[in-house]
Amino acid sequence: MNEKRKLEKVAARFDGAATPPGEVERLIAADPECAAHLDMLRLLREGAEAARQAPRIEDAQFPAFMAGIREGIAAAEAAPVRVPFWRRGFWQLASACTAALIAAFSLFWMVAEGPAPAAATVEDAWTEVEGATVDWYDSKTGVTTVWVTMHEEDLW
Amino acid sequence: MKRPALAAAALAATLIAAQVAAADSQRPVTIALWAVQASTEGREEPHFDRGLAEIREAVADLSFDTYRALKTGRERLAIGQERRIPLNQTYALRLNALSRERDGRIRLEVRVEMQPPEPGSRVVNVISTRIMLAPGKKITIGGARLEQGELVVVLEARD
Repeated sequence: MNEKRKLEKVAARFDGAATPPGEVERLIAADPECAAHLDMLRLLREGAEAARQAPRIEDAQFPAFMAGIREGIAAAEAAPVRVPFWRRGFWQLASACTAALIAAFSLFWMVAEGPAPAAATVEDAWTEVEGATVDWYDSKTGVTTVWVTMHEEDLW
Repeated sequence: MKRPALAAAALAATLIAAQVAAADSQRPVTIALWAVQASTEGREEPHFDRGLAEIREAVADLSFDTYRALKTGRERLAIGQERRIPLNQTYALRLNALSRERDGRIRLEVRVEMQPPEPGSRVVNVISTRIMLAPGKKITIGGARLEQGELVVVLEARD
C-alpha cells in the first residue's frame, strides 16, 4: 500500500467511515507517517471546534459593545500621556542651558577680578654695569625691591 | 525661544564679552613715580622730603635715613608706549607699558639709564627689569650711586 492510500484510510477512519477492523490501528502502529497524520487531523478538528465556539456579538449586544469601546477611548484620552524626555523639548532646554552657561561665563570673565594678584612679580632684571649685580626680593612689608649692587670701582 | 535664536544670543554675548575684555586690555596705564636720593646722615628719625610720605612703607626695609626728592609725578602710558623721564643730569628712567593682564596687573619694562660724563659716550642701563605690577601696589628699584647716596625709584600702578 502506498503512502497516500494509507493516509486516506487513516483520514477515512478519523471521519467515521467503515474500515476493516484493526487495519488502521496496524497502519498507525507500523507507520509513523500515519500516526502523525492522525495527530494533525485531531489538531485541525480541535481548532475548528474552538473557532466554532467563539463568542458572537448579537445585534442586541452591539450597543453595549460599542459603548464599551467608546469608554475605553475616552479613558485613554483622559489619562496623562507619558512622552519620553527627549521628545519633551529636550533640545530647546539644552540650548537654553548652554546659552545661559556661556552668558554666565562671559559675565564672570568680564567682572571677576580673579585671584588676588601678588603686589609685584619680577620676571627678569639685569645690569650693563660691569661687576655689578642685580637681585630682587620681597620686603617684610610686602613691597618688592629690585636692587643693583655696585662697587666703588664701577663708578667713573 | 527657538534654538537658532538661543545660539545667536549666546554668540552675541560671547562676542560682546570678548570685545569688552580686549578693549580693557588696551586701556592706558597710569604709573605714579617717586625718584629720590637716599642717603645716610645719621638721623634718629628718617627724613622724607615733602611729597614722599607715600613711599615710607615702600622703603622701610632700606637702611637709609634721608630721602630727598628728585622727581615725583604720574605718567600715563598707552599700552606699548615707552617714555623717557629724566631724573637728574646723570640718570633717566625709561618706562614701557608692555601689556595689561586680565587680572588687572600691568607688565612694565623699567630701565634706569646712566649718562656717562664724557660727551658722546653710550648710555648705560644700570638696571633693566621686567615686572608685573598690581594696581595700587608699589615696587622699589634702586642701588645706583648718586653723589653721597643712592638712587631709589618707587613705582606704583594706578588703575
